[in-house]
Amino acid sequence: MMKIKIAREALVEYEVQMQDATLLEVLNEIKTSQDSSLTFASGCRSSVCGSCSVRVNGREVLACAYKVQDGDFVEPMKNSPVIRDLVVDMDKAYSFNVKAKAWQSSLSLSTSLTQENEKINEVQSDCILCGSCYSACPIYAVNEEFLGPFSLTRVWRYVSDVREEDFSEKIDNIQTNGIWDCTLCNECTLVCPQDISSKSDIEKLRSKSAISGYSNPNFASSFGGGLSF
Amino acid sequence: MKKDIPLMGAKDTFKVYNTNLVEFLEFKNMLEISEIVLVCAMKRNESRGAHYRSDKPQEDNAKYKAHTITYKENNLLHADFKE
Repeated sequence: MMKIKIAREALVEYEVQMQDATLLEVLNEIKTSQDSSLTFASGCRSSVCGSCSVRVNGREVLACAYKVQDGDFVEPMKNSPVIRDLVVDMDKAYSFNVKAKAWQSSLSLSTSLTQENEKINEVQSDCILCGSCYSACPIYAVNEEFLGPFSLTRVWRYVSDVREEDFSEKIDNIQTNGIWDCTLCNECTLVCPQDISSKSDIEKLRSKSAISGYSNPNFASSFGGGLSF
Repeated sequence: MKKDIPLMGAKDTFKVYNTNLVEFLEFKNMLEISEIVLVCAMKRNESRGAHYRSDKPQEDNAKYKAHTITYKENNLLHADFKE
């Protein structure tokens, strides 16, 4: 027998007779046999669609991949408004992909993509938009307009694409509420089900920005508005 | 099962993100579609792609290289084949 707690409007405890079951299987069991009003989102059941991300004991997981332990505490994701029970509204989170201009800006028709080229941003292309990194990111406590981990990873995915002829617009665009707001705490990397490290993608974007003549504005202010010679 | 549909419904009556209701609506649609699929498969007296019939293992292009048009008449499902 297994007990899990789920943070709905109030904290509700459920008991199931299941062993070695994924959280999604347990949630489905509860919904079909105990409480049809329990609400959660899911899709593929095999870790490719990214719809079922929730937090278990404070850590972001895909419900379809996580194996339930007795006493687990399940909550909706952070940094997004809850629609109902474990379902959150991701509209604002996804809007940062648009704000970050996370797409191909100018396609070079003369450059063909080799297999090596493909590998440059293979990992970054694996993002399933589950939003785990967005929920785990502590920056949203201080800056609600931070472009955020998955959007910046997507920017790097297109900046690093050899077919992109001019990525300067994208680099200009991520200077405010972007790469310099990150504290490199690495929480996004730890929760990503696809083994993407937004933190290291942000670092790559920082060095690309430095090459383009940008510098960390936080350093400038800590020197009292920059050095004057 | 179709007979019992009016006796069925979603337990959850909440108006927001009601997956219980969505699943019930999907179930009703599935029931309707599955009957149509069955009628179409029975009318198609041949094998073609994933549609395999052990009683008719060959393709019959003369009769069935066509789209299936399905409709209801006097509460009965029909399937015709038209190019």
